[in-house]
Amino acid sequence: MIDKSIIELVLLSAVSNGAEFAEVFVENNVKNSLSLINGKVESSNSGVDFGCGIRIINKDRVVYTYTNKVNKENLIRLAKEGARALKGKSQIKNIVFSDLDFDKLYIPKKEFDKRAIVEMLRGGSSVCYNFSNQITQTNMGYMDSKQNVLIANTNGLFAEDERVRTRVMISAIASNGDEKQTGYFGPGALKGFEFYEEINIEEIAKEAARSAVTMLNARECPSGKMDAILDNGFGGVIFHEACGHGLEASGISKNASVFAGKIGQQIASEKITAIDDGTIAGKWGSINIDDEGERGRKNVLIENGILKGYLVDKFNGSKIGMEATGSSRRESYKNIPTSRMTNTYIASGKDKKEDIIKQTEYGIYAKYMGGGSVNPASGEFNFAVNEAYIIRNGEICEPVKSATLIGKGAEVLKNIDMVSDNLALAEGMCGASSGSVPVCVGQPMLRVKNITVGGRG
Amino acid sequence: MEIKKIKEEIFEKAREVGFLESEIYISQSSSFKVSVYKSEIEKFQNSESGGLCFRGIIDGKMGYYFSEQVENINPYEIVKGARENAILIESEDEEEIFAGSKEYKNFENFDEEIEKLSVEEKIKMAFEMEELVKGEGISVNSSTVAKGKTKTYIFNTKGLELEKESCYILAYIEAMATKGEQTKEMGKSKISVSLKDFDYKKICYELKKDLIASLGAEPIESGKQKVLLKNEVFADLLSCFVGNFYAENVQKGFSRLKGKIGEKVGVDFLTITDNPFLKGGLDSCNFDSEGVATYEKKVIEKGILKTFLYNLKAAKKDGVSSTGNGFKDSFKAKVRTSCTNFYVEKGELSFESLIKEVENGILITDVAGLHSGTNSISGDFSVACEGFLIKNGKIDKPLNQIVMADNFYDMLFKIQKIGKDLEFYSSIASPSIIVSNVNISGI
Repeated sequence: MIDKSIIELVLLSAVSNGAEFAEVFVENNVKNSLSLINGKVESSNSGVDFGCGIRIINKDRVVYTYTNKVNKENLIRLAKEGARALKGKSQIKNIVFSDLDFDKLYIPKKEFDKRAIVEMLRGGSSVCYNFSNQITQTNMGYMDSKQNVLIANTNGLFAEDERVRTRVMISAIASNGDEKQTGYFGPGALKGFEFYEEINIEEIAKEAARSAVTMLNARECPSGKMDAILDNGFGGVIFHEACGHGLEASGISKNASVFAGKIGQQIASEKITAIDDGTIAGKWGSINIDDEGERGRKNVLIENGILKGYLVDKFNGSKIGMEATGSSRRESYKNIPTSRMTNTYIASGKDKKEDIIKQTEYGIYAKYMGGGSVNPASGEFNFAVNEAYIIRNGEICEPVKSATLIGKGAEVLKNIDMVSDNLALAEGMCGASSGSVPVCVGQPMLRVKNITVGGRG
Repeated sequence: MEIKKIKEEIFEKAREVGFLESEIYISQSSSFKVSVYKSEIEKFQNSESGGLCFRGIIDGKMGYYFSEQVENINPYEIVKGARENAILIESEDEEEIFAGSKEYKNFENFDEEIEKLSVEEKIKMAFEMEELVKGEGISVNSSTVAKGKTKTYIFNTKGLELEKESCYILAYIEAMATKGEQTKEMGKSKISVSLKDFDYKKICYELKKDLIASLGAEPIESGKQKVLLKNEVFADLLSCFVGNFYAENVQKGFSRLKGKIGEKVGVDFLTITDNPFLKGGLDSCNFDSEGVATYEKKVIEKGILKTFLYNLKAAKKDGVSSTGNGFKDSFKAKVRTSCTNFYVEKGELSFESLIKEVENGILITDVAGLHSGTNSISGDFSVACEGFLIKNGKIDKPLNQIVMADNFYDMLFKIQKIGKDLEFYSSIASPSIIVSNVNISGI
């Protein structure tokens, strides 16, 4: 995207006041999106994000500057301006680049086709309407992006990568008079258009319609402390919020996490093994290389309840004396990269799904979960439940709606007492200091003892 | 980017590929940010960004295309991209490129003083903030001062040429304190469009006070409670449901307010205003993203729903005029609807009087998980919160790990008192408000 000789000049300008390290991140991101309301295309947009971020690091100080005026003079000017925030003499005289060699996890096969996806989403919309006359609206969305990045730094790293992603958002709205409920799914992948040959949009749409209608006819969820069974797939949001964010080196390096200083300690029930794996071919949260040029990898975070490692970027890693784990991510050239999750999940255990339900006297069964958030310093988290049922005497009973589950990460990890063997992952977007990045959450069905359920019933 | 030259080239190419009318929307921003940590500068950021968005009408459909590649603009690629998007549209709503309003009220919302502030002065502020908060067992995680400015231009083939410039200054501080096993982290921010309103020290005093007061918090038993929602908490809730007042959502069936104009939707002392000419308002402006002149209006007056907020397309559909609320989220986005400065009009009681008024109940000072715990369509919400017990008209022990669950529409009828402490933490604001009979889950 930019000539190596220019990049070298920019990097040398960036370290001209004695910085230890400088990095250039150039991005060209071609984006497409569209939306259908009630089966008709409501909007279609496309365009290009383009720009360059320059990061300069000296000891504990980070200087970051970015621009979309990407030409030699302007980049050198910005690099020099950035360097002025530091004082000293240049230590680095020249840079010998070597091209980073890395494996592509997946090669996209088919070009994106907006017309074809419109047909599929329209089909999905019809399926929703046909499912029940209580479905009054559908709302479908689509996005694809082809992000080309160039990452180079003063250590000689030179890497270019292409990330091709696509996702659909499928919502069905059920209504009777004033009451409205939504069923939603958002499958996506680090793949080309062939992804839509692997999933069945009509089936997903039908499930969204079923969920909306079920919730429309559900009573209010009870409140208070009770046992909760969280189903597989998006249920993994509990680990993402309760623990995942707390393992990011950005918080660990400031001691702003309940998990700081606890490596080697039992922090979770023995049934918990948790993994962050950026190397699953074609998965939504996967990465060939991270946004500072480290190869993606599979990191065991917790093994049988014992904390094994953190998610580490180079900057925070050097503060806490740990190696980078291929976890440094950013939304775009406008963000300073930092430690983030990729595909994070609780591994399958040995319990059986049926037994978990059978052995629960009273509680709620959360079939589908929504998003959540956490304060990593205190570990206090929350997440929404989109579809839930009461469990009574070991049986799934009537549906209940509008519940949020809250707790403290350190406590809830110890209160997971059953973990089944049906691991599944689900796609989402995760927002934090370096922007919004695609991630997967995941888990097999599991049970949490005595968690606070906030409903209105 | 030589705007005048490039715009004529793009308009010409647009005509060639079949656009009847077209528009170019340009945004140019710059920002600065400094964060300090442990008496050292930790992060120092400088940026310039922006780009253009083209849109045009072809066969009655509006096509969009955006680009940040300002060094290398290819007019043909832009109009070709927009054309491909236009052709896909199936919605039959009539689109319009606007010729302009008769009159644009004179309004300046750009404070040169913010621009004049030197880098050194901003760094000094960030250090000052850290000093004000740290100590007494409190450690500061980051103290940040940022400023930015944006210049926006709209040009279209109907001869409309508009431009506006805005800037802001922002302070943000995040700190942590520990008591026994409990660690508590809290952040506060202040954003202003005028330097003289930028009281960055006030948030530091408040943060210190609130952080210490919240230590040792615990949940209470589940049940129905009378709650006092602090001004910023009610504002946060309002911002989750503001979309229900947008005509385009009403027309698509995504709002429960459909057909309720002229009807009672809340208590008769509730008035909500959308005011684009609020002095010092974060979203003050004299025209919207479609070039329509803005004006002040009551959305709810004395409990009665008076109007929805309209952009041009939604207005045409309802046979009314745009209310000047057609806005883009960013220069790249499609024109949708947005409020400007949107707030609950203040009542008469001070915050202290509200506490007395509650007598026994709960004060909610913070909510978490609004993005996931609210159903914007049904109005249902269930969100994690923290605050204090109110006992015999006084603030008592701190509370955390509780969930508040209710319905926004129901809540507008359960308001008992509205305070006078209206404060703008963002462009959506409210005074503190007492609501009866709210479900609280704890132990």
